[in-house]
Amino acid sequence: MKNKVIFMSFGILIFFSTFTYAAGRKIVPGDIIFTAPVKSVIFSHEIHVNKEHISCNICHSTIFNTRALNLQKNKNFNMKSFCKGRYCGVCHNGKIAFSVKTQCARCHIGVRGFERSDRAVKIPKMSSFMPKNALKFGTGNFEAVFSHKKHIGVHCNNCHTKIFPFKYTVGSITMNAIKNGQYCGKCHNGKIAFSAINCLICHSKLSKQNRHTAKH
Amino acid sequence: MITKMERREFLKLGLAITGVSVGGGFLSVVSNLKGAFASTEEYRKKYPYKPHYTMLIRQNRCIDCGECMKECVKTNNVPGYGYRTTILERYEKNAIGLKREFIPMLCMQCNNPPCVRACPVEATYKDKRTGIVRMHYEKCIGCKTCILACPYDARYFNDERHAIDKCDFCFDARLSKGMKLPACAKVCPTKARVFGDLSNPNDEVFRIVHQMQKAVWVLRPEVGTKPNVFYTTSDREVSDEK
Repeated sequence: MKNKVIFMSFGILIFFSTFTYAAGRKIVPGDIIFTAPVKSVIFSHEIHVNKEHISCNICHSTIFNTRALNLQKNKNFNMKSFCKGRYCGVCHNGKIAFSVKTQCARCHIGVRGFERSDRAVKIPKMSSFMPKNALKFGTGNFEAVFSHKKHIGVHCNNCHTKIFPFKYTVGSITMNAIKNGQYCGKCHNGKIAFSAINCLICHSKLSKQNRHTAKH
Repeated sequence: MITKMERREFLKLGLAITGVSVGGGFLSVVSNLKGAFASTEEYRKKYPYKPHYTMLIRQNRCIDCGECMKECVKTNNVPGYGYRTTILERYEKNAIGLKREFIPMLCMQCNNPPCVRACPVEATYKDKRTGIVRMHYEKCIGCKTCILACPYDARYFNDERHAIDKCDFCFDARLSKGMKLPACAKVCPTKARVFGDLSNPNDEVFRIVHQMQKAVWVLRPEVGTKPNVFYTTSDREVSDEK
């Protein structure tokens, strides 16, 4: 009996410790492998987010567009502008992180590095790291639901971080503001997407229980 | 208390370990300066090369972009199964910070070339004027003895030519036509490959090889080939280069 209790408590301990460990790690996009102007340079989200604990907001979308490989089409996306403190050079200047002028092969993985890497991770899939659960705004029966899954055709750039920050905040999102074309109303104006007058699509709890009160 | 016998064993062991670190290491620190100086001082009188073509590789600059290999294939019609120049890669999992290094490789144009000694028909020879190890393609019988003799794996058998082919610093394709640089040194985006003349005291390569502040090394110095391709590192910014 005593042995059983000890065994079970160990089991619970292990279960919770793994659970909290998994909860502490963020699900991140895969590695981005740039192929221009030289082949090839690796950027690891895993290292920057889970090891160095850098928030998405620091780079996106002020320094880096969330459309990863769009960047390498820029003419000034090269070592010269990094050295002047643009792009990676914002942090990699020898003060915040190691300078771009040193340790070349830390990021440059070369032609063989490109071939070795899994092709699937070269352009990260958005669905792999966006929040799985629907975001909830408001309380009680007036709760509105936003699902990332249903917005999968929309690129991150369209909302983040111009309209919404990456971090979940309710802030001053009101129906009045939305009707005036702020927040959700930027798209949900009846032209780009369905109008915000269709309450029940987002306020789904209303539709089940208080359908009558909502109509009036 | 250490007995005489044990002491002897211990000394033997010590010797063996030094032997390994000097003999087996790709990057041997011990004979840096000797390797660098031997090539000029000892051999200058013996082989009066003018110009004494040489290449200095600033190893930490190499990013394995593959431009040199691409340009070499284009210039010298190198088939897909062989190479005249390549880039080796070393990955140290437990290194601090930088974990990867790239080592560009080509024919070392040795002053004491084992391939020339091995060739039974004198198809490969050390050029008396420039010091480049070159090929008489029509003389080669394709016995591949030189491939075995070469400690740097710098030779391959070319089926189309039915002869051994190797790097000649682009002598046939470029230098003999009046161009100053081999194809690889010309296209290198980080200027990791510096081509120069070791008989000219004003040359950049001469000045770097004959200084003592910064390590200059050659690959596999223990085989005694006296290479003319030197390796070093560079702290200068790439954007500072002309």
